Amino acid sequence: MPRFTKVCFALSLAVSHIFASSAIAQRGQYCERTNYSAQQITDAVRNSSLRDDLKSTSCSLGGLGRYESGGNKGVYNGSCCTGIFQLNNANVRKYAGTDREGYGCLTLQQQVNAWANLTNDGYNTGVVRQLASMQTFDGQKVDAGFLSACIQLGTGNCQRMVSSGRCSGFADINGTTICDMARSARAMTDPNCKDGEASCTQGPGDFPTNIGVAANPPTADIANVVVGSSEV
Amino acid sequence: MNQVLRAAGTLLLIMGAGQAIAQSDGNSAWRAMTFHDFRQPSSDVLQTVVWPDVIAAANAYTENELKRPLKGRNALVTALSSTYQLGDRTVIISTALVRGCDSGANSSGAEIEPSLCPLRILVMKAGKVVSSKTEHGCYIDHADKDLPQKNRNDSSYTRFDPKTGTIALRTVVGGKEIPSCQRSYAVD
Repeated sequence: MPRFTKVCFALSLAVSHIFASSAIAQRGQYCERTNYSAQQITDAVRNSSLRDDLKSTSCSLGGLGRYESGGNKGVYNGSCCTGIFQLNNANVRKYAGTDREGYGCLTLQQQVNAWANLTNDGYNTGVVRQLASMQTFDGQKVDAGFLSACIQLGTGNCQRMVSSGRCSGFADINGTTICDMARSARAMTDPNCKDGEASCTQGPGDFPTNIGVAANPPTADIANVVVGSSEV
Repeated sequence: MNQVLRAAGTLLLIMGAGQAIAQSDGNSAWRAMTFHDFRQPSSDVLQTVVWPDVIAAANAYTENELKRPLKGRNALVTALSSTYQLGDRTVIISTALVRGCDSGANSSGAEIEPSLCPLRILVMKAGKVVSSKTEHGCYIDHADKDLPQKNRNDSSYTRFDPKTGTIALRTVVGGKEIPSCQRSYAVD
């Protein structure tokens, strides 16, 4: 065999070995395969501890769950991420208190609860606050779905996008940007899903209007009109 | 059976002594940080001095929010550490995977990323803390046996320079150096 042919043969063997190795580590399944609909995921989000202003567009969050996992709560992407919302290994430990396999075998509601706590923590970071104060970013409407996508792809990664001023400022290894993710989540929303009335009128950071005022009154220092108890 | 146990014990003693020598002589070389799982409570200095607040917070979260009884164990908290002996002083550098870490992307198209976490640097003398500070450092481990081949040696490393009194950190993920994880801190 000529030397060049031998080199090519060796190279092709090496490449096929690499592909074979990565194939072993590719997608996996823990416990049963599920096919939760966008509406079922939305219902779990509504029953979770997610903050009210993000719940106000929970229809798109059902779409986000379908986008990430196809509704299969036991799916592992072969590298970092598992479950309905594809939590990464580190966040699985921190927010679900278990390992990846244990997480894949939790119920839909338990998985969504852990994701909701992660998302609530992410909402308090500077970059999400900064985004929430914007009406649009690079031509994209900044709504709860967009903020969730920012948290979903990591607040550090989201900061890179915001600092660049462009959707293309951060993309994962498949080239998916935060803007792409938000768009895809909206597209996979159940068409019959009804968000709270707040979703039509409420911008990020506004006072939530989808819950009773008496149950969630603004503090006196931020209220426009302050009525004393004797004036009621 | 007893002979096997005795031989194993002797081997462990030799390995332990070897490690102690390496720690005292190897200050200027890069050293992979050691992985710790705190689920089993112990009187180890990492659990009792370096991270007791973090363990308590994780225990409270697990019991109160996840509604999972711990039955005398700790919540799943993991940490990395390096220890350097400088005469009568011990320098401990440790980072823990806690809720305050930024752990990167959660997505079916994502790959493993390091977490940016609190990093504590303590100097101890005669069993007492003489200085401590909290900075940030990268956390990555390879404790998970099902990791992709390329991630099975992911590690964070430290190197202590006794001349300048600084600790340098670096992290390798998937065989690649992560530039944002290259940091250097003074040890007070």
